[in-house]
Amino acid sequence: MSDKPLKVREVSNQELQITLMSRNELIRDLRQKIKHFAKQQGFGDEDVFEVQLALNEALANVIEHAYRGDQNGRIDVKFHADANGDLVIIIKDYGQKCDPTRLKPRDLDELRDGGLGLFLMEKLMDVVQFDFSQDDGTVLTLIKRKQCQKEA
Amino acid sequence: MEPTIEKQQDVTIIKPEGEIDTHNCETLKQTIQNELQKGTKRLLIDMSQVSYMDSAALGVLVSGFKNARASRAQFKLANMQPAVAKIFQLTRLSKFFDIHNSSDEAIASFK
Repeated sequence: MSDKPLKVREVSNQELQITLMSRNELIRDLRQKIKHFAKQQGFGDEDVFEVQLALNEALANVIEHAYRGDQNGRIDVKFHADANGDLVIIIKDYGQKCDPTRLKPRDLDELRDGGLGLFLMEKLMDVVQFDFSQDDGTVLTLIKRKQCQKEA
Repeated sequence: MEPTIEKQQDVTIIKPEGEIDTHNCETLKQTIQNELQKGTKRLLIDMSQVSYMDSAALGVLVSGFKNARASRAQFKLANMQPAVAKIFQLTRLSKFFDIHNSSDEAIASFK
């Protein structure tokens, strides 16, 4: 990717495409962008916070596990509001694939510092789906349903 | 941003600020570790100025708590904003920590 660590392309009011380098300092920018986008789509404060945290955890996982700390890996992120108004986040990396059988949230009855990212994503989002079938890297789809908010 | 540190009686109060995440949580980790190494036995983390934290920041508090326990120090949290409190509830970490609604309440509870 180019030298710019973060590139944003606003495709429409319903779609934002972002390419970033695998750097932890950029996660904060992405949190701000998803906050703005989700609010624009009519999501309330609690949902916005949940989506921010889920995106944060997803990106931190990619940087740590797919790129193993390499700061120059490429991550493509798409925010999209679908026809139902649901918020869809697609995160594509080109790093190392993880072993899907090892993808399971940890036991919460033990006190240890780590391993909560996947658990939080699953708790906070309505859909968390990994696609390991790509030739290179992994695609993660996160969905927050609009109707859940209406029911709340 | 460096957390502020103050003493009230024999309680060391660490007050982190802003959004704490995987990028900047090491500073808080070091601050907690330094205070424990100095020998403090009563440590309070005042969370009133923390508006956001992720699981990496949560991990820093877990390791701080465990290190305090290993040093036979008491470790308490106070003044959590709702968004931060929610992460503790979701991860069920509330049951491990001694969490108080105010700093005064936390300070009074040290044995």
